[in-house]
Amino acid sequence: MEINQLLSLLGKGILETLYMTVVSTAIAYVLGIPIGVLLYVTDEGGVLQNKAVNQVVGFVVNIVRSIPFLILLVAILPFTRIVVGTTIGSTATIVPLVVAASPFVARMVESSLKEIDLGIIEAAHAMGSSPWQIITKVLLPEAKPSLLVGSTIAITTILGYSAMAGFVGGGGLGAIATNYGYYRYQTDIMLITVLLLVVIVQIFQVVGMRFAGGTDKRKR
Amino acid sequence: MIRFESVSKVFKTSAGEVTALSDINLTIEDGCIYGIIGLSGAGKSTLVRCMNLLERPTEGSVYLDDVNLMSLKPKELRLARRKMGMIFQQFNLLEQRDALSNVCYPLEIAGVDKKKAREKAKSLLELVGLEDRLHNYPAQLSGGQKQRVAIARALASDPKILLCDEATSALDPNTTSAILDLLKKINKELGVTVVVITHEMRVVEQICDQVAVIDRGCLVESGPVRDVFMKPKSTVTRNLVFPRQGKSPSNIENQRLMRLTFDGQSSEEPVIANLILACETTVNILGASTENIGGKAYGQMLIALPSDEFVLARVKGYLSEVGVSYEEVSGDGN
Repeated sequence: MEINQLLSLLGKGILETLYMTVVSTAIAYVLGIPIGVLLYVTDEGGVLQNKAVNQVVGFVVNIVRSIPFLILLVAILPFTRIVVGTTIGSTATIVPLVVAASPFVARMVESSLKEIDLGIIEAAHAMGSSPWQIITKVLLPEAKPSLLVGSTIAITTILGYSAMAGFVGGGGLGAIATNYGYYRYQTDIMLITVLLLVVIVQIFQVVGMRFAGGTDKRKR
Repeated sequence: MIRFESVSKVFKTSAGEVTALSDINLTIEDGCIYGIIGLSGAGKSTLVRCMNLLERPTEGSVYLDDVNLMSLKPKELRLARRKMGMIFQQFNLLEQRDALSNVCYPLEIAGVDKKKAREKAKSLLELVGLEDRLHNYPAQLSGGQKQRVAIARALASDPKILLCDEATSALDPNTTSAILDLLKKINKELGVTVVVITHEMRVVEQICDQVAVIDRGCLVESGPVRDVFMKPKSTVTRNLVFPRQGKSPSNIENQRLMRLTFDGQSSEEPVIANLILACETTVNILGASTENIGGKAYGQMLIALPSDEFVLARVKGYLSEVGVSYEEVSGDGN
């Protein structure tokens, strides 16, 4: 393979990987934050305590989380086809990524909310806040730094999932590693894609943590 | 005015039922500073949380200005809570908001216009002496400053009552005094009724008009501070007023020990000095615990006198004359 060809292949792979990862993470958060908040507020002692809702939602979240990603990917192919009209390529990968990541994100959000000092919530009640005001003006803003740390972990995990999708017709660096490195035994290309994934993870990690630390007002 | 009518609170725990409050009857009149004192675990914090229904009593009724809070719908209860500010031992400020936005919070949730809210918050922070700390976050403030922000925040909704749950227990003595002075000022200048929950005598002494003593979930006694502390009816109150002293010095050969009880003499009268002059004897003070309540002295003092019957007789005569009660005690001070 010529060097120009290789570069354009890898360039396209990087863009596809970023596209899958970022879009999936964003959608997973749109779904995961409400689910995570729901888990937290319906838990015992929560502002909208409801044991039944909490247990049902918790159960569903655990079920999805316990299915290995590759199996989930294949199992929901019909669903993927309904949503995006195809089962191969980067866009098709976003569907299973979102399904797998949303429950994961929900648990991350729940655990971030659990870090908030209960005294602060008690004070909010004492000031006459409604449950909705407590969620939007106390819980989420107070958990923001922790939520950002969580999102850094989530995005790197989703990046890893997206590479796995390469095995069953997904796009991105994972597909390149599978097609060239695995099926054609081109170890050099495999190594380059792995290296690129490592670099992307590093960048996400450093940028994410710095951002999270920068917004935390608990630091002097 | 807050009125409790036979309020009880039972917590159901995995270890069985725990009675935190039993049959409390209490009236807190408008405009006063009301102290609720008791030892740890006596039920003080539960009691104050029943005032704004952060804890719902399992029995009885809680009235705020003759409205039974227990009968209110959730929305009405939220409005009622805005008439009662509350501050806490751990301050409980929003850590991701600066001082100004913390004070704005109660106004925000009440739907006050943003600009007006900020102006009001600024004037409240001025009132508590933090006009130069508007944009500091809680992590950048000292304990005393955090409690001042919390007080300003509690006052933002123009409450008629300010509930203070161990508000000074996490602060050093000087800061405690300053915060108590601030509470007194708020009571005087804004006419806000202040309810102070504490385990510290000196807090009640410094600012309260009325006091209630709580022990193991029961209201033991209540009334004006002077009356309750002058003639403590219960052992708990006596222990709070005169904490148990450690062992007295034991080298008391050729000495006679005497316990003096002060119950309301002028604290300006130098009783011991006068005793020395009048009886021409030496006095060794082994221990003392006296409190100055409203210019009068309360407490006990353990003194050693020379083992001389004539001197003792003179001392007893003098003490009877000035109205200090006394008893001779044995060597170990009991």
